[in-house]
Amino acid sequence: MTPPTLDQVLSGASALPTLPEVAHYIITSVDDDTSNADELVTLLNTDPAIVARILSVANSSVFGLSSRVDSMREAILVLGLEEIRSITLATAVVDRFDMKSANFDPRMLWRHSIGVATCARIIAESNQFNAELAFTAGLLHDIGQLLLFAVAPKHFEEVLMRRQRLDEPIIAAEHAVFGFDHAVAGGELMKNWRLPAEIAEGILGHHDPEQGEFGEMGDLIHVAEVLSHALDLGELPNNRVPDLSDLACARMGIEWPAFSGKFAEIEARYDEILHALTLQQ
Amino acid sequence: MKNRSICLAPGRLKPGMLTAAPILVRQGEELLPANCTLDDAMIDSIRRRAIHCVRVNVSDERDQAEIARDIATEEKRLNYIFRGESSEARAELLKAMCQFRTWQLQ
Repeated sequence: MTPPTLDQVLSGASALPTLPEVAHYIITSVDDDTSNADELVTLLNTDPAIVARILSVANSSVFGLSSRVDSMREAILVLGLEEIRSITLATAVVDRFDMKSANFDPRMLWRHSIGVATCARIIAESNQFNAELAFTAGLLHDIGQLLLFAVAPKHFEEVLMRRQRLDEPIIAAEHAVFGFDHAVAGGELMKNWRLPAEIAEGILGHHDPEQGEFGEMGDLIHVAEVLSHALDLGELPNNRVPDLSDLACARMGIEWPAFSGKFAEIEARYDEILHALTLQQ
Repeated sequence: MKNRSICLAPGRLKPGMLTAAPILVRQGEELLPANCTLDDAMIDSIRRRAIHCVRVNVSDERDQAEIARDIATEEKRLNYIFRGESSEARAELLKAMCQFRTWQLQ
């Protein structure tokens, strides 16, 4: 059977569950100075599954506060807006995209994505970039893999088997099977979903930031992805650190001896969010 | 018995842990000094601020031979995950990772 073209994959995007309204609000209001906690609380309260998850996180041993948190407003006061946005977004995507097969475990993909999101946030903080946008782009950077799996599961399984058999990068296996890769599929999907352009650029550029105009976010997500593999976040079986673009590192001003001072913090923050989402291995 | 310091997210702190370095809040002000034994109130106070990582001392019962074995295992893993050709930046990252893991395990 012939694999679908990129256009056919994108037109099959309805096979993916839609993001809840609150996740859309979080993603699209990152740059909006007029967005506020009241609006977020109102939207959060319309999604009982997310409210339950946030209250359970706020009252869990991970945060272990002495007094009980009973409302979204209190949760924001206690955990902070940044933490609430991260947990909400991660919960929304992890819970919605829970597809699996014998060779594909979305939990493993989410552990990796949270690793990349954490690295992206800390690199962004160090470079005075928008850290929340970087976290979101990192979280969604491999959404193209979910799209390929949802639309063409048999062909995507062939990609996974080929990658394992030949120990080749997933991008190479996808090109061999589909003729395009998950970065292009994911980036185009973000454009169709009308998410901020920087998120699409981060996704489009994360495997090859030198190929095209993907701006700072393309460089950032590329570096974050490589760093996440290097720190072995998610402990993927057959983990292999992708090649790292000298140009992207130079453009970002990343110098590893200096930035290594952040490695321990990245591991601690990754561990905390994984625990909060009960995604630990 | 010797100690080594590890970095923990606030949610992982437990009463009785000893801080390995001063805990600073965002403005650079010191919240708690180094060598401070944490209690419930202090941990609560850390968790209610935007502090992401706290360095604490933990006891380390490993002898030198065990430490060397741990470091060798980690180096082997790093060489495995960094298999294949490297750009200059990737080679530099590997070097930084080796130094970080060695420092972490000593």
